[in-house]
Amino acid sequence: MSSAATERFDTDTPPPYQPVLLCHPGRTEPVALDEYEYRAWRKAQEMSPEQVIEEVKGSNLKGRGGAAFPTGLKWSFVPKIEGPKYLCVNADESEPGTFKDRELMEIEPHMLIEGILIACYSFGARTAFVYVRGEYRTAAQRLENAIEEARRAGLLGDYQILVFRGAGAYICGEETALLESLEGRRPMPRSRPPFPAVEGLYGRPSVINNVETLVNVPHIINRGAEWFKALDPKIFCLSGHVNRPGNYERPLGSLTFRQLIDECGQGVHGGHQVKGVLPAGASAPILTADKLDTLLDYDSVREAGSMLGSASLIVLDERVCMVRAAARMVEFFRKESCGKCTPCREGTTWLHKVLTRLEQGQGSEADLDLLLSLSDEISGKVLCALGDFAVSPVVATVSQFRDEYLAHVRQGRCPVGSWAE
Amino acid sequence: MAEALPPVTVIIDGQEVRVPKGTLLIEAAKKAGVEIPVFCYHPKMKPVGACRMCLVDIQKMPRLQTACTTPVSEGMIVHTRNDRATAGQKAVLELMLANHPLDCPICDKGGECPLQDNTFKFGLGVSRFTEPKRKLAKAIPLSERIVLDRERCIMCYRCVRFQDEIAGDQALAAMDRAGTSQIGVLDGETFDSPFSGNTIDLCPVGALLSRQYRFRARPWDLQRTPSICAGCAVGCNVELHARDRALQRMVPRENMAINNEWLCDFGRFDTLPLGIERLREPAVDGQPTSWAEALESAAELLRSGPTEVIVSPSITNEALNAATTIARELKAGLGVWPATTGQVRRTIQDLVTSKTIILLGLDVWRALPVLALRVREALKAGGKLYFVGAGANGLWRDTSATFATVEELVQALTHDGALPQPISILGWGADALGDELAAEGMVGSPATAANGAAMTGLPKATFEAPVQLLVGNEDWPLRSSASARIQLRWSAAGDAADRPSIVLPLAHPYEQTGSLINLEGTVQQLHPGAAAPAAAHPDWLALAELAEALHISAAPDMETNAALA
Repeated sequence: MSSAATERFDTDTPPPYQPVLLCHPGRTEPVALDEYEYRAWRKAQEMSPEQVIEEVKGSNLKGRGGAAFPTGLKWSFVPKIEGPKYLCVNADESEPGTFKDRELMEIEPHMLIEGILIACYSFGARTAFVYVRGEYRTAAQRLENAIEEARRAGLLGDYQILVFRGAGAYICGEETALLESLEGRRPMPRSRPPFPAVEGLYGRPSVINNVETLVNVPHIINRGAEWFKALDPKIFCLSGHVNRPGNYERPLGSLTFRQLIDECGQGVHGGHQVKGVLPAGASAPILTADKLDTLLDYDSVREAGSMLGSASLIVLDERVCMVRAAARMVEFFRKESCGKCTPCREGTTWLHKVLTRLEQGQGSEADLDLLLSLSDEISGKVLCALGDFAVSPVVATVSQFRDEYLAHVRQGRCPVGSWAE
Repeated sequence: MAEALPPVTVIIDGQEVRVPKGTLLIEAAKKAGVEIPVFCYHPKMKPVGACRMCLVDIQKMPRLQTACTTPVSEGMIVHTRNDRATAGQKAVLELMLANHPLDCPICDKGGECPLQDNTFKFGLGVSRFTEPKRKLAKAIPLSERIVLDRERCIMCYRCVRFQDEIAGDQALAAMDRAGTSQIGVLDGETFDSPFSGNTIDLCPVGALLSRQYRFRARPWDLQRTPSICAGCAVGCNVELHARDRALQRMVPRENMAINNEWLCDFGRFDTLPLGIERLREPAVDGQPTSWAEALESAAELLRSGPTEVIVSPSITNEALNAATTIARELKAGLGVWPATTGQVRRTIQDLVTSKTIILLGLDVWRALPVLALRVREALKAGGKLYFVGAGANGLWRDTSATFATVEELVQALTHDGALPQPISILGWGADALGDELAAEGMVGSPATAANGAAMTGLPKATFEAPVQLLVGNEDWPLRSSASARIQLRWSAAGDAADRPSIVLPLAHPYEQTGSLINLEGTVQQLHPGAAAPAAAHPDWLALAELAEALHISAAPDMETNAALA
């Protein structure tokens, strides 16, 4: 499954990028311990924990889960106090269109384990929990096998890595909800402060890192901060209406949306045109086709009016009804809202009702203002980012595809129509 | 914790206020006299930031912040009523009301509902929500005492947090997610907690309601009288609520020295004289008669033979005083039943600040429920709880270790040095262990009945005298055929085989004045919150009248009691 999604070499495009993270193209079986050297782990243990943090800080590695917070800085926030500290690995990859951590865990489990060990060493944790999305059975199983391999080989020392499987809630990808779930509670985000670095899992200092963030760490230790800074590899999950969806590793800022779609995805399928691209699953505002020459890095995508987030790009072609797409995305957030805070719980329900009405041709022009006003009542007033994410498909489509909404209102039906077939 | 931190100055709506660093903004605002609307925030529980009602505008912060979760810092400038803040508050209320059924006219909470009040003060007058509202189950009985309306619930989690943080039994839980989130109990279970009634007070809407009080009154029709719970020796401070002089419900009043702001279900629901047949007129040998004739017959009977005066440990001090005088003048025996103990050193406050608490076989959870909540306060502040004995211990979740004997406890806990002070010890044998450990906290075997502490020196009643004067509403042991009994009580309940010779109807403790001494020795006043049946007299008055009929001149303290009535 992951092999089909991994890039093959194309002799026509010089020079081929040599992937660092997805470095076994076409492989379907996990890399076993006899094929993997824990070189970085050995090297890190010869360094002081502070040196490790400085190296990662110097590499400018930013969190790959979506928030792009500098990883070294995050580690340095952990207070140097006695008692247990924890690393929690966020492998609850649930953003629609995101599947990079899955391939990393399925094929490169030892790279992740090595990253975990180095991270634990840097800020003084002895126990790491890997919170794996419940549906990722293969990934969790392969990771558990690899941990057992590493333990038998004596690589873990007094470090402990525990795999915890989620039960299928999008909100568990939110770091404090993840902590609640790990503690055996209903996953609802915590209010901050206190921040997890100070009071996290079981009230102890904790760091929550994404899988892709951690697999970069061994390479930083092996090849140095300067090397990493110059390269900055990132996995782009490409899906939707492209000919060849899959995970593609490229340096950040080295190619545009168009290049990714055309060169990696081999173009839009069926010869259709791009209508819009969601750069970070359902969570970031849709970008219209005129933004396709935007470079794929955090700043450029932000300037274009969206967010790169976890870089899970969903391509939508011109046959897609934007009202239906918005309704579908809001439905997702409505179902995945944890129900803790009022604006998200009630607001997503309300938005979905209005969007459904509009999509069925039962809406009015005033509903468009209502959608924007409700989005404003939710945005910035919610407890965690889920509510903010939930309004982005609404605001982005109402502002960029207003004519399509109005056509629904005036014609009393969907003018695009292809979905109905 | 907060008091150790240096003070900072913050400006809230132009009001400068100095509070310790780290104080929550909502509390700083309270100090500045600024009202910020809340639902989920409650000063006795950890903030959760769930309802978002308390959104305020803090200078230099890009987003509105919840005042209930934001600690203040030096120089913070906060606006709670500017356009941004009020827009946020209005937004939250509009969203909260979108699916709220607005069935206020048939909701018990109407008139004392924070959702109504906040909407009126801070909300919009109209709603733009035109879709059908969410349909959920209404009037679900969670237990014998509590009924839940899921449509009204706004998911503030106050009830869930109370059962988790304060009661510690986690009797309620949040279930499902998103728009269908709801609170409830697990399938097949009931809301089984001795403190469930507090969730009715905490609920900011009409979601959790009392089945006892449901549909009986409107809050604006209630007369409210501060009084004392007569359920046990804790002496919780309460407010009696009556409609047309008829008692409807009882709610707690805050008193940090005694009950904090909690009440147990037994006190709240079961001590009220509701649904209990009252004794309405005096009777002699089963024949109704007047007070004068009944008193005359009683006096005659009392003078006729060896007499024992037997008091319940729940009668008022004034009644006890009168009973003592009568017994002395008649040269009769005086006893208490059920037997009571009651010597306790120091106060509930000393218990709450204890670092070590030892229960010697005393199931505080059952016997003195609210005291168990105070014990939990001590534990939350870092104290440790130990239990000795094989009996039940309702605080088992919070107990660090259980020992079979005191010797085992001493051996296990003191070999690494002394236990941290203050040490509180409650139960049989507390005094001896208290001396051994030089305990500085609350030590003793507390009384459990409402006025048990006042009767510490009294011997246990023998029920052997041929004439017995029984004062108080107890299930007295059956009399032997040889004896004659005069009973002063408020309920008509009683064994038919034990039909007393003479009965005199009393007022219920919630219908009369008088004083009670709680387990730590605090004297507290009862105040009549409702009208007693026409022929019922306060316990102390009935005994004073009996003394008069007996021509006992030293009728006790009549003036004082009359003044109180």
